[in-house]
Amino acid sequence: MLRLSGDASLFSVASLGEFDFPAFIRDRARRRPGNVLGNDHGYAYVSDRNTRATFQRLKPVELAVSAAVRTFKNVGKAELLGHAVKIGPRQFPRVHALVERCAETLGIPVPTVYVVSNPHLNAATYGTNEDAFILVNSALMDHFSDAELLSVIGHECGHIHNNHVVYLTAMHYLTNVAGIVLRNLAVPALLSLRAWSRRAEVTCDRAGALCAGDLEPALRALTKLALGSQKLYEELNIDAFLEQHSEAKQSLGRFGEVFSSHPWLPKRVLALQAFAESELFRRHAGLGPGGLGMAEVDERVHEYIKVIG
Amino acid sequence: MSAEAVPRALPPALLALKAKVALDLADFRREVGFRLPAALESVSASEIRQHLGPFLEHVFREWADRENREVQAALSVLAAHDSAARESSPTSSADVSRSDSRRMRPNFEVSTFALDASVVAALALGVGTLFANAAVGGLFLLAAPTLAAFGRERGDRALRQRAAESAMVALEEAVTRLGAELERLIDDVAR
Repeated sequence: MLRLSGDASLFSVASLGEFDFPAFIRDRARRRPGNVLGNDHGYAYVSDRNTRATFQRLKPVELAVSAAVRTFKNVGKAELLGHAVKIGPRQFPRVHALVERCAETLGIPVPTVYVVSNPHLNAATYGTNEDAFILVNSALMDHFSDAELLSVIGHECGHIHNNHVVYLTAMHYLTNVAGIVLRNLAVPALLSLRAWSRRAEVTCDRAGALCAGDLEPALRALTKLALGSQKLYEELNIDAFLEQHSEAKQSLGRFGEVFSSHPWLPKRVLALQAFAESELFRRHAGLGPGGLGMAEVDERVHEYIKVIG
Repeated sequence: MSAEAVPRALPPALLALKAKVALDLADFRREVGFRLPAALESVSASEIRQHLGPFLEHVFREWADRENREVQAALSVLAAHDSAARESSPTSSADVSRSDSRRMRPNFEVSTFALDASVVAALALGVGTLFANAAVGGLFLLAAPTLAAFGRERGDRALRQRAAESAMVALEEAVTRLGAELERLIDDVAR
């Protein structure tokens, strides 16, 4: 048996120490992998940021829309739990780890993700800014590698990080529910929301690239969306694909994009390539110093993204 | 029952150490319980949702590491001439705290369904009556954001309260597990 030669009073009591919650939050934000150049939302497309600032001035409207969205979400959530598969530490832990990594990169709470049986390559985020959930179509799981999934989930997490969710959900309900009742009355609101949404998508493509930590998987994910074929992707010529943008620019049909919630895919690829040249992305991806300032990147992106003019 | 499984009476010094650990755990619980409400008031509801779990883990891990080191140091002093005492712990200081703190994810969902549904009702009534009677419809439409703001404030208050409660429950569980680990550490030394 152990020979005891001491006295237990020698044991001093450990103190609680620091208990500063705000300081902890600041420190966490500072250390986050996505927080490069010291700015939390530094990667956001300026046009998206400005439009959101306008939205945020209409706080009462946002509050009312959030409440409405929460109500519909409560109903929709039960349906999702019945028809989709909820990802978690015990359900598809590999994919859950990807979700956690994206959340950690952008500094958001780990969102709830559902896999929905759907053959289309798509993912979407709904809910409110505080309580968002992501739907990932099963086809994405089949066609995309982990790195590409990081970029897609990161894109959706970007919507949460940039407080897009409530407006996206409002747009969804306006298109699918209120639009049917209100018909043409909803068109002006829908056009404005879609114009903003196209800018928001640029921001979130950047979030996806940041989460993947590499431009390549983010570009692959985007071009796979255009192709929908794993087999053909190997043969895809990106340069020829991007030339479609110049060709489309000459066509009268280009104005049809005003009804779209996403910029056309070649534009998104060009916008993402411009972002990859930024100092912010280069630092984040460990590509060394140098690169363009975000103002310069946004100026270029604006030229790619604009529909009129 | 094998000879090894027979419980052996602990020396008084180790019993005293156990008692001190128990007291210290109770002090930790009490101090966190005392300081947590003010800490929750100093941040926004969304920050609570996002950071409370990791914050509690951080506070607990830091404290548990210190506590564990103190216990190990005390055990080393108590067993000054017995080198086995220093090597008796199969668990490192980091293991004791980390295995417990990873599980601290308080759940503080607050239902605001009733108020949210009222907002939807006000919006629906507003839009519905706006064309028949602009004044009544307008009033309903104005009532919606007012109700939503009220609901938000109430929801935030409920969330802070729920967060404090569930944080203490999560902490209690972690402290209980840590207490058991530290007791086992002390018992191992006595064997």
